[in-house]
Amino acid sequence: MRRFLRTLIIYILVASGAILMLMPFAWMVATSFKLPSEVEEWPPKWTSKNFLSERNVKVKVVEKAGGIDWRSLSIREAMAFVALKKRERNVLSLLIDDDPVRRGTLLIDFSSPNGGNPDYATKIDEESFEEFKKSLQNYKILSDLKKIFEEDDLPVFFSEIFSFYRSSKKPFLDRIDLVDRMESYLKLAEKSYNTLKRFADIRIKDEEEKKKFKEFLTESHENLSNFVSNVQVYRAGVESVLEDREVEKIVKDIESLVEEIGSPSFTDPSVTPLLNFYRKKILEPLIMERDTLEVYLKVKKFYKTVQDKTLDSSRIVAKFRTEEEKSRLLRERIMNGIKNERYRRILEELMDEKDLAEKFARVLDKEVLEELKHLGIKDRDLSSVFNDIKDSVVRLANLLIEKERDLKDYFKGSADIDAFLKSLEKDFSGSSSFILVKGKIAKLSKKIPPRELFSVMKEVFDDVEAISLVRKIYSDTVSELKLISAPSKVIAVRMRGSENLEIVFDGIDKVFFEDEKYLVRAKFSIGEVFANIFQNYVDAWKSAPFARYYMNTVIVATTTTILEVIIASMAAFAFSILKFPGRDFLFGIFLATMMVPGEVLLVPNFITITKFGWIDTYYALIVPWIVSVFAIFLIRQHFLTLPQELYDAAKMDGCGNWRYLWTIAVPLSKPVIITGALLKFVASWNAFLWVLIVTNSEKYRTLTVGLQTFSSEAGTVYHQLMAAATFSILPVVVLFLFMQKYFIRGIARTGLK
Amino acid sequence: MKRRWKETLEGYLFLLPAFIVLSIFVFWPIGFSLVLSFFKWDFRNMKNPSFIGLGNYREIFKFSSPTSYPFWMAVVYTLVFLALSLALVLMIARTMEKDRRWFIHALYFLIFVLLFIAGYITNVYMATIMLLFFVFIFLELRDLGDKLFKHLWLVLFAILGIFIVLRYVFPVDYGILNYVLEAKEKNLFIKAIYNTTYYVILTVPTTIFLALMIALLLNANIKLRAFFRTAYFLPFVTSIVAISLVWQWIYNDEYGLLNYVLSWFGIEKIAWLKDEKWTIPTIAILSIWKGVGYDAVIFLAGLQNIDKFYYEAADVDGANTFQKFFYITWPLLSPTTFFLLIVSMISAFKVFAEVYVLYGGLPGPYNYSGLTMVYYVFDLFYRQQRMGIACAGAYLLFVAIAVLTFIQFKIGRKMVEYVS
Repeated sequence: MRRFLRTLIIYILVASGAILMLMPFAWMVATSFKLPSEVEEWPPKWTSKNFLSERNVKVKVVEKAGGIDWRSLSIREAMAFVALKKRERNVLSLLIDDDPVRRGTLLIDFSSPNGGNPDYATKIDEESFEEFKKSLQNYKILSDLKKIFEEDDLPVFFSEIFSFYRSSKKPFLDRIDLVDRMESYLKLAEKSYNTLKRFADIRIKDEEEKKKFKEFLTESHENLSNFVSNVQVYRAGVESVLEDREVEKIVKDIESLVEEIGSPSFTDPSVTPLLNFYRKKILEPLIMERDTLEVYLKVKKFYKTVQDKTLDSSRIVAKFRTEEEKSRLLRERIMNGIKNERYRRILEELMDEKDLAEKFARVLDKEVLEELKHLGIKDRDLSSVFNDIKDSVVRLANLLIEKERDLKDYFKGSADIDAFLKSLEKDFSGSSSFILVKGKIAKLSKKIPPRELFSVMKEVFDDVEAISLVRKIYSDTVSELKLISAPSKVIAVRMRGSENLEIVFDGIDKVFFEDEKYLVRAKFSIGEVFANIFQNYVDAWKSAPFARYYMNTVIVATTTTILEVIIASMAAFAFSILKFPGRDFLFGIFLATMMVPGEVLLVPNFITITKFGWIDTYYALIVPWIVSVFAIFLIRQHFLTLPQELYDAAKMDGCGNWRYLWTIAVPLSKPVIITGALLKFVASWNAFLWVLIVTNSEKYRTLTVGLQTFSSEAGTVYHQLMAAATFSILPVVVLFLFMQKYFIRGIARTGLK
Repeated sequence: MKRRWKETLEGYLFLLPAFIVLSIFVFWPIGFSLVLSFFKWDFRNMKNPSFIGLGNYREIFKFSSPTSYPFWMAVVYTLVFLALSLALVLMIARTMEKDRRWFIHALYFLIFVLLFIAGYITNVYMATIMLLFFVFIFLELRDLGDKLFKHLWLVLFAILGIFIVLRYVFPVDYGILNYVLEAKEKNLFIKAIYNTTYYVILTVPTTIFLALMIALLLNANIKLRAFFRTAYFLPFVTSIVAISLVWQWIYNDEYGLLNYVLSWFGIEKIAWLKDEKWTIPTIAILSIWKGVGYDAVIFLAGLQNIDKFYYEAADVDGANTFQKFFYITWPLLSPTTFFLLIVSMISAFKVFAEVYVLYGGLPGPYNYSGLTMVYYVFDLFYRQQRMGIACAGAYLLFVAIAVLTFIQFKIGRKMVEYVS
């Protein structure tokens, strides 16, 4: 029994120690599998949602112009693009307020607030809209809101109203804002109460009335402050803006408040001015607040009544496309979309490339540049001339779009640059932007004959249009998901940059789908779950040149090890089997160097390497480390155990020292040599300070230094950092697990460090 | 004769590659480094280094502002206290002796009284009393020396203990420790020495103790020993950079695993990487974790080298586990322990990468709280491009390591010898 207990305690101690030792590694691996949102979690968890085959994705409806992948555009191009493509009203944009989804199948469920399939409206009854607007005329509302009521387009009206109330930067229905507004209102009201009380003493003659008025004021003040303190409950809620139910409640509360404090009756005429003041300063802001809130409810109600149709389903199932499917689709769409033969030919060649649109733009730019060169533009002016042309064209196009006209017509209608400018002049005589463009063109026509300039400009315009079209097709196609099942009015679902989900409706304004509840769920197959788990590894690998680091490390570690084994075997052979004067003295000196810490030699060695011109080369990483006295010692000790007879016999048979070393001694000492080689390999793999000092560019950096720079550049993205740490130690760990016999033996025999 | 010549030639040829590389990267730099340390050579005069003698060393020890009292004073005071402690130890040793001559007791009593008075009056008296003591201690040591040496550790501990008590009873501001505490804020090199020493004191004994425990447990006849050994050893073979990154994450004060584990015991979140006072312990914990497996493997090898015969004999004599440990294992293991002590000490003095990675390329969160000696050299040479002074710093590091190794050898040989 006692024995058993003792064994048990030993096992518990050993096992808990081992767990403690392995915990950091386990934590590293666990973190490397996590989703970004799971990294900074308290309390820390060991699992990740990445292992699940299904997860919910939180989304939020955002007010934004859809259809453009902003990150791929330069600022000027983006400006042009905004103008070229006015807001796409049929694209609903959902912001993924959660970890990115990169693959799998998305189930988007959007039922209307009352439970059924989503409602919408297509044909808008102008009359009822006008009537509705008229019905709201008597409300006292903010002037910003009034402006929206001038809008004639119903969907635009709705979306602007909702933006004002709910989704703008400072939404009117923001909980905290509302409460703050009420509080500041109470403060102002208190000031007015004081003023009123003071004036009541002076103005009101009748003592009875005075007393009554004062009492009324006190009561009103009390009611008001009660109301404001009741409003405080709205400070916190599920969403940052108030729910409709709450708005209704507030409206009702204000109404009853106004009823209570709003209609006093006094007989003394001297009270009247005070009452007017009271109404103006205290009642009116309250009424305005109530009206503004009520208008929202009215609009909401109207919005609901307008939507007379429903979709045939409330469920979209969409699947991410494979690269292959994407490129097939892209080819098809581009060939359908681009009619111009020249462009088609260029695109055909580029089709299989990544960043098709960028490459396309570059090719077109190059062609224009060639043309300019033919026109006799000098090399150093080339890019500035080209930029001026492009800039002028884009500016003109933008100007015209504001006027809802197309630059193409002007190009067609004129024969040369002067006629072209003249035709534009008619429409833009006053515009400063146009004057600027005119100046630029005047400058350009000094360098290029007008006829040619005109044709180049025309070409550039065509190019810009084609590029933006290709860009749009490209970014739409690449981000598009495959619809598996969807309501018939949904034409496409796109995932832009893994954070924006877009639903494209067939001719229906997106505003009608903004009140639906969106539940998005992502489903993954086993292969996709696997890809999800290792997503951080892929991201980390891509965000720094780790492939290069890996290759460097392998090259350096392998070469160092091989050279070390060769040199150490030779030296060990000399120190053990050969006999010559000075041998033991030299061996003593060699051993003594083991006591010298390498860090002390850092500076002179760095200077030596610089003198050799080896900074940023493999030499600097390899050569200083190819001699290991420890390995020499280890191998020598083993060589000494080889029987002398063996050596003599070999000599007898005419075997030279060199051959004896490589064909007999080394093969017989394999285990020791493997030990020496492994220790060197690991040391070389893990070397840090020296590599840090002698490499400047990432071209020669090894994994350790690469990892360090990655960490200082990437900051605290620990899921990726841990992934990088994992794959950088993996080879060594695997090597150790398989060869640990040799490691332990080498270390147990003598120390290294 | 010809054959001998041939063999000599061959021997040197076989040695040639190793010798060339060692010459360029070890022998030459040792000398070159020493020479460089006497030259002013930095980014301002890269082309023409100028000889400045001990200028670099003086620069290293230059204080940003003078200390409140000179170094020799600190040394004198500490020596006085050490001498007093030794005297008290001797007194205790004497009382435990069979030989109890009354006048010796009387003398000690007198000393004790004087000592007490000395604490309260001025320093002049201290000096005279000290002189008296040195004479006395000398006489006593001649008498008792051999006996004391047998229990060297005990005596050393006793001296240390009494020293601390004395410092506590007679609080004088002057002393080496106080001096260093003041000086380290005025001189970066002293700060580096202080930090490194602190780190060495934290890591070396802890690592060796834990490693011994692990080795003893693993040496008990258990299954899966290879697996456990692997688990303990694994940190040692993995890259220090990767490991430091992992620990940087574990040490994270808001979401770190360590603070979470500590929270089970009701410990508040600790700002491991942001607080000056936790800098060295933080690095020490990481190093202990990394190094304990290595020490354990060597201990294990040492344990397995001990002849089973001793234990069998002890069993026959009816010794219990503790007796077996203290009378067989520990003495027979002492060469291993000694070896580990030296090796870990040297490697602890060279700590660098942990600090560099944990603090993202800075020596600690602020106030150079993680500045180690190698970091000091690295900073001078790599960041500030001052080759000469960096060499001087490196040489001082070298000397420090050499002196420590030498002392350990001196003490260690006495300890190890009687076993082997």
